[in-house]
Amino acid sequence: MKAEWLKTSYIGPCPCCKINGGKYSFIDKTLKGITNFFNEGVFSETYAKEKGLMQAIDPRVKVITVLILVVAVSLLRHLTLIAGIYLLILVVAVASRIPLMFFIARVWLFIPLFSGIIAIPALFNVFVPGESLVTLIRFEKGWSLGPLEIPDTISVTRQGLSTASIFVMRVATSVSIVVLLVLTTRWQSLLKALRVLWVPQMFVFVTGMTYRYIHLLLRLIEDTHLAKKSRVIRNISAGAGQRWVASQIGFIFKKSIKMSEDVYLSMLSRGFTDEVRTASTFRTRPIDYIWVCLSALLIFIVLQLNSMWG
Amino acid sequence: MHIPDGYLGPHTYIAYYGVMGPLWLWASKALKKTVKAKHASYLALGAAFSFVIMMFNLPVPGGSTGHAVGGALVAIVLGPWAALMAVSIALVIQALLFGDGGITTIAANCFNMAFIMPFSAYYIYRVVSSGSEITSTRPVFAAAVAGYLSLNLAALFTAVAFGIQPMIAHKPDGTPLYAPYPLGVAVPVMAFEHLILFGFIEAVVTGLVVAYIMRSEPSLLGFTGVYPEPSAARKGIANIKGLWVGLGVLIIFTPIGLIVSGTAWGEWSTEEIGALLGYVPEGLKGLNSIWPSLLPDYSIPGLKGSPLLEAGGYIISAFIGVLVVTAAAFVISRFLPAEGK
Repeated sequence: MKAEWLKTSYIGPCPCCKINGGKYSFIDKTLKGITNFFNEGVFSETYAKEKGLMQAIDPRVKVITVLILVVAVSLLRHLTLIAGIYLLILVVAVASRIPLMFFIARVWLFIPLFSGIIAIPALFNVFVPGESLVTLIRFEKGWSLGPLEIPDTISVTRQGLSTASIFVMRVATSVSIVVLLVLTTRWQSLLKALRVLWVPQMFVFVTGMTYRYIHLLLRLIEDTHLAKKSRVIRNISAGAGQRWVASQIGFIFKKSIKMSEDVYLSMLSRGFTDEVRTASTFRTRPIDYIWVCLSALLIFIVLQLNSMWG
Repeated sequence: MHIPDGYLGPHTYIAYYGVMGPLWLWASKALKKTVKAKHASYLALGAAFSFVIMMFNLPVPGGSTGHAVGGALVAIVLGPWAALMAVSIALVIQALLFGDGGITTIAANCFNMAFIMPFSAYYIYRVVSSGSEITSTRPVFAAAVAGYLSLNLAALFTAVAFGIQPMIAHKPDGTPLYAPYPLGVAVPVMAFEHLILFGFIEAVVTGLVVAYIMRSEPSLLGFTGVYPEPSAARKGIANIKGLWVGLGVLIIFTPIGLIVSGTAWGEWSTEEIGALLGYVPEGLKGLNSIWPSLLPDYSIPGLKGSPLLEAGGYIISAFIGVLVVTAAAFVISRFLPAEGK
């Protein structure tokens, strides 16, 4: 158990002495990142254990349908179709016992915040010219700024609005589909299910191992950062901080190399023959067939509408 | 630099899978050969290391913090092929578990961060540090330069992938369907932030970690000499027998081009442009006479008339072409640092 005072970000005799200024010091930021990583792992497992719609479906079937759905979303050219799929995903999320607000917030607040900001300039005629909807600024004459031609009026265009909304909606829908898959499937099953996509056995095996060793290495990093944090009470220069972080990365590298030898030897002593076999416990049930049929129907309909609307 | 789903159109992301598929296959073969049975644990720990590098925050003068991508560092310490696989695995875990980067764009992200970045970093590091003592500061400098340049190169490739989207995927009225900014906007914006800030963070991390390893356990930097592929390539021509056989087969089949009528799109001669457009642009006319080709239209002067003679001309042209390119590559390779120096 970690002491409560180590979890807070302001450490030292008073807040002014936190390491290297800023709202969070680099040490706090790393610790926060590591805590988030562990929380994520626990989080996705909690919902994966619920008895809901998506949880009941064979992971292999889920992986294939999700992949085809994401590809289908990437093919759509109409906002209404993409938004329609998004609404359906929300319904499936609720049927999978994922709290609706949590699901929406996770996608809209956390992940595509970046995409939303990126899309804003595309609204204006500077980037996407077209029919003007609202004129914001008028200049006496236009000028050019590097590769950009600034026109004499700055306005929101219909094409710009269409570009930005399709772009943001597409990103949000694709992310929602993947988040839904990840939240309703246990990580080990998800990895094993990748086999249906012709992902080599060895890759699945190594990725599973990697995930476990990420946990181990992060525990080590957390320990060294906590040790540093509990011993430093005054500001250290950015240079000294950088050298310390670099020494930690170097240490982790040395540890990884050493550990890979040890792990290999222990695998060998337990009978590893360089051949990977995993026991598959997956079983398809009637609900999987219904799910496949419904997904295929949905994808067929949206793609048809997409080509009909041009 | 992680491209989410929805940023790239299907044409682009499928093309990336087409490129990365063979590279992954090649890398796993190269690793199986060099690291032998140990490759599973070696790769797993290498990938875990690649993943956690990004978790380290670094203080930046001015009170802010930033983190490195790590592709350059992983390539320098593990070699480029191992880095390709290790960083790819780390990226797959990030995409599947943390939504960092999309599913359709996994190959695009791997291309930029697991291929372009490690490979460019590795060779920049090798060239700049060649001939230096393990105790000198040149390898540290070389690592920093490799980190800075390779990150910027990866960012440039990412920006180009964004920038070509409005050109290849838009509605009839010109509305872009995916990433909305053209090359003229995407490239300068991406280049600016990477040239000014992120490049330096990558350089500091790569340089300082190499300095630390050189101080504490320099033998580990020798890993680059044990695992990667260039040693095999430099052993000589005999080692690549398969490549020669393949090239020979390709040379023999070159006359297939004679069967097809017409010219490859965009490779018209001035006569063909004249026929297509009705006139030959002035600038093109002027440029056309600058370099008279030695083997015009892949044929040998004198070997014309019958299809058999023309096919012979094709084969001889292909042979001469391969010879010239191989000779040029051989001469250039003499100037590159030799293994283990």
